[in-house]
Amino acid sequence: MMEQVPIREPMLALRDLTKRFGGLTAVDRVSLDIFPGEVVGLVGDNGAGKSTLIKMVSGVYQPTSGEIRFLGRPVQIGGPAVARDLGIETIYQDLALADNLDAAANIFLGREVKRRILGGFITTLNEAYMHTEAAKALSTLDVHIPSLKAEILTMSGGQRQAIAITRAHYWDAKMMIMDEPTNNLGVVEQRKVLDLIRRLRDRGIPVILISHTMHDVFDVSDRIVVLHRGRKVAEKRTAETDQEEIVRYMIGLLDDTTPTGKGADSAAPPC
Amino acid sequence: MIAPLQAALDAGIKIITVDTFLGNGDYVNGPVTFPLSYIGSDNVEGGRIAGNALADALGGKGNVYIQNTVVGTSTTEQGSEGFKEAIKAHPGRQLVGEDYNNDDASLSTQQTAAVLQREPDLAGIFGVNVFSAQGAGQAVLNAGLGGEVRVIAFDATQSAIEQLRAGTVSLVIAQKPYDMGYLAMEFALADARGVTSLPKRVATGYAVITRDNVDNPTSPASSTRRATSRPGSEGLRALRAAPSQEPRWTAPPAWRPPPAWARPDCRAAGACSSP
Amino acid sequence: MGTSGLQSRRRMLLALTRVWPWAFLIVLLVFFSATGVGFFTLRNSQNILVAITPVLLMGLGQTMVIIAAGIDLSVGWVMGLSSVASAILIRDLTAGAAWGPFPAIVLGALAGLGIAALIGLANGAIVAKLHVPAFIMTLGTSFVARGAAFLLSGGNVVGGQPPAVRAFGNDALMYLVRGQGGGLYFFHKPDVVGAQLRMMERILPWPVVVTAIAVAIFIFVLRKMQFGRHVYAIGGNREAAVRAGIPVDRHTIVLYTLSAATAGLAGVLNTARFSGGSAIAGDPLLLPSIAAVIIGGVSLFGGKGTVLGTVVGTLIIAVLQTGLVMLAVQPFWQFVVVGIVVILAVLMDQMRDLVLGRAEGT
Repeated sequence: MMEQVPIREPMLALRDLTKRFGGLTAVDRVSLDIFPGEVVGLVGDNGAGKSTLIKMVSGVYQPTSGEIRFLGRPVQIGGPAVARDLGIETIYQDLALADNLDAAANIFLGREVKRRILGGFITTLNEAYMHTEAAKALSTLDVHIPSLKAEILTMSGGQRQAIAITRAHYWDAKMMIMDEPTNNLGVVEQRKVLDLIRRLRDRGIPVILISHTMHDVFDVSDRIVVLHRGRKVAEKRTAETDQEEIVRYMIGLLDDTTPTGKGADSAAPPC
Repeated sequence: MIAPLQAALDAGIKIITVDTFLGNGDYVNGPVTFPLSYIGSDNVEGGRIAGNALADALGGKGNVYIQNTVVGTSTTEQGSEGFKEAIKAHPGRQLVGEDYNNDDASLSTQQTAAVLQREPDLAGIFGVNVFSAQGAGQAVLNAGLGGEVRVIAFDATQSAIEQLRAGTVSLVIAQKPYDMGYLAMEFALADARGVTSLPKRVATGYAVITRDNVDNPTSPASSTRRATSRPGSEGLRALRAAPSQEPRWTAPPAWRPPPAWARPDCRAAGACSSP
Repeated sequence: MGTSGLQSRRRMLLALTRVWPWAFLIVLLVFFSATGVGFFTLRNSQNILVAITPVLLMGLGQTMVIIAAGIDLSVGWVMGLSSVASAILIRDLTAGAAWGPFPAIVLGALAGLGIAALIGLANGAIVAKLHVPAFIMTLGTSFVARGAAFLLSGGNVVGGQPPAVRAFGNDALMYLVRGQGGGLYFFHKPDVVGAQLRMMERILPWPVVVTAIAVAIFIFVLRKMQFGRHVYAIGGNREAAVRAGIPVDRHTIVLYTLSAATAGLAGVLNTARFSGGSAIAGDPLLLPSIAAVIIGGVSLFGGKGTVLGTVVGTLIIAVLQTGLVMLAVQPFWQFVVVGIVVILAVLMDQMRDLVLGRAEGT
C-alpha cells in the first residue's frame, strides 16, 4: 500500500449547489469538497436531500444554481453518460446488473469487446478477452466469486455488489458514489463490501457513501457530511465525532451553520 | 342469432336463412319456425354423397380416412357424419381413422403422412373442407402415392378446382352457393308479392366433380367457378345487377325444382356424376 | 465451505431444468420407436421436419422477442398476409408468361417478407417509443394484418401459381431411390414411377433447408453477436441495459421486425408447399409456436432461453402429434397431452426460480 501524498486540490468541488423543484427546495446552497483517497459519508434523515445532491453529481438532475468543478474545471453534467465520461461512477441500490448474465458480461455491459471474423465481414463478441479482463479486474480488487461463467443470479447480494463496484473500477472510475451499498446484506458480506471500499480509497479513488447504517459510516469513512432539510449542517472528521452527535445533527438539534450551533429543531422536545 | 332475428321479425322484416339454419333447420316442426325458408345444402347428405362417390371411385377394396378440421364446427361435423354413414353401408371398406387438423393445412399434411405410414391399405381420404383435402392431397403426392390414394374434397372453391386440375385431389363435392343466393332472392321477391306457398326447406344439393367433367361448360363446375366462399353472394350480386323491370310474376309463381343432377337422391336416379 | 456444497447442488438442479426438454424429447423418440409403428424411419423423420417448419420459423422470432421480455401476438396473421401477398405477386407476374417463374418467385418472396417486416416495424416502433404494452400492440396489429390479408385475397385462397412454386415447396435437396437403378440424387427429382416412386425418399425438402439456415443464423446472432447479448440484457434487466448505454429502443424495433419477418418467411413457404396463398394459414399456429417456445425453456418473464431449446420444444410437439396419430390414439387425447407438456414446462421454469430463490441473501 502506497503512502498517499496529500493533495490540496479537491477532485470534486461543489459550490452553493441548489436544486429547486417548483416551490420545494430539495438542496439549499450546499458546498462540499471531495479529495482523492478519502471516503466521505453522506448522511441525513429521509428527505434531507442526499439523493438529490448525488443525482446532480451523477447527471440525473441539473442544478438550479451553483457550480460543480471536477479536477479543477467547471463542468456541466448534462446526463448520466457525461458523468460516466468524466469518470464519476454511481452505484445505485438496484446495482443495474443483469442477473441472467455472467460476471464478465455484466462488467462489459454496453461496452462489449468485439472481434472480426470471416475476413472482417462479421463482428462477434470477443468472449475470451472479456473473461480474462474480468478475472483480472476482480482479482485486482481482491474480489472472489464462485464462477466467472455462472449467471450472477446465483450469487449472493454481496458478491453482486462487488461485481458492480468492480465494473465501475474497471472503466476507470475516478470517483465513486455508492447509494446504500450494504442494504440487504448479511454481516459477513457487509464487511467484504466495506473492505472493498477501503481498497478503492487506498488506490486513490474517493468514495461518497450514502448510508443509513451509522455503524458502517463510522467504520469506513474519513469524513462525515450531514444534510438536514437540504442544507449542509455539519462536516466533521469521523475520528472527531461520534454517532450520538451525528444523529443530533441529522434530526436538527445541532447546526454548525448557525451562530449558536443550535439547530432549527432544537426548540422541539427531544424524543 | 335467434333473438336478434326474432326482433327483426317483430319489426316487420322477414327472414330467410341461406346455407345455415336456426334451431335445427326444420322450420315446420322444429324449435324455430319463424323464418320463411332454409335454403342450403344438407351437410349430412353431402357427406353421404362424398362417401358413396369415394367408395365407387375406389373400385376394388381399400380403407378410408377422414381429415376433419376444427372440432365442433356444425357443417364439417355433419359432413363427416354423412360420410361415415355411407361408408358403413359398403362392406369391405373400413374407416381407419379421423383426425382434426384445426384448419391447418400443414398439420393436415403431417397427420395424413403419419396415417399413410400406419395404414398400408389406405385407398381414400375425405377432406371435410378445402384445407383438409389440400393438406392430405399434398401428403399423398409427397409419399409418391398420387393416383393410388384418392382424395375427395368437400366444398368446391376456386382453390379446390385448381387442386383437382393439379392432381392433388381426385374428387370434389360441390355445393351450389350461386343457386342458394339466387333462390333466396326469388323467394324474397315472391313473398313480397304475396306468395304463401314457399317451401320451408330447399336442399340445393351437390355435384360430384372429377377431372373429367370439370371443364364441361354445362357441368356444375361452371357454376362453381363463379362461386365464392361466401355462399349466395354471387347470386345476389347478379340479381342486383339486373336492370329493374316490371314484377316478373302476376300470379303466384311455380317454383322450379333443382335439376336432376342436384337432387339429393341422385344416386337412386343414377345421375350422380353426370352433368 | 458448506455453502459451496449447497451451491453446487443448486447448480445441478439448475442444469436439470435446462436439460429436461432434450431428455423428454429423447424419451419420446425412444418410446414411439419402440412401439413398432414404423416411427423411426427416414420417411417419418422428413415428414416431421417439414411439419415443424412454419411453427419453428415463427418460434425463432418469437424466441428473441420473448427473451427481451416482450411478446408478438401478430405473427399468425402476418404469416397469412405474407402468404397471400407473395402468392398474388407470383400469380400476377407469371400470368400471361410475362415473367419466368424464378424471378417471380424471388420477387413474390421479397414482397411477402417486406409486408411482414413493415408490420414488425410498426410493432417495434410503437412499443418502443409510445410505450404501448407489446401484448396489446401486437394483438391490434394482428387484426390489421388479418383484415389486410382478407382484403388482398378476397376471402379466398390465392391460386394461379406456376408449378415451380409447388416444386419449391415440396421437392428436396436429395432423393434416395431404392432398388435397381437406385442411388442418391441431388437437386434433381428423378423420374420414377410405380413402386419405386412409392419407395423414393425425400431427404431435406427445401422448406427444411431454408428453416435450418434460419435457425443457424438465429443461434449465431443470439450467442455470438453483441446484439444477441443485448437482447438477453434487455430481458434480464431493462433498466440496467438502459443505464449501460444499450440502445434499447432501437433494439426493440429490430426485434419486432425480425419476428414479423420470420413469420413472413413462414408465409412464403406455406404458399410454396400448398401452391396457394392462404390468409388463415398462420392463425392456428400462433399458440403452438408460443407453446413450443415455452416448452423449450424460454421464460415468459424474459432473460432466459435459447433457439435450440425452441427447436426441441417444436420437435416435442410435432413428435407427439405424429406419434399419437401413428398409434391411432383418439384425436382429443392429442390436445390433452400437448397441454400437459406445456404445463410441465412451466413447472420446470417455476422450479428453477424456486431453486434460485433460495440463493438470495447471505
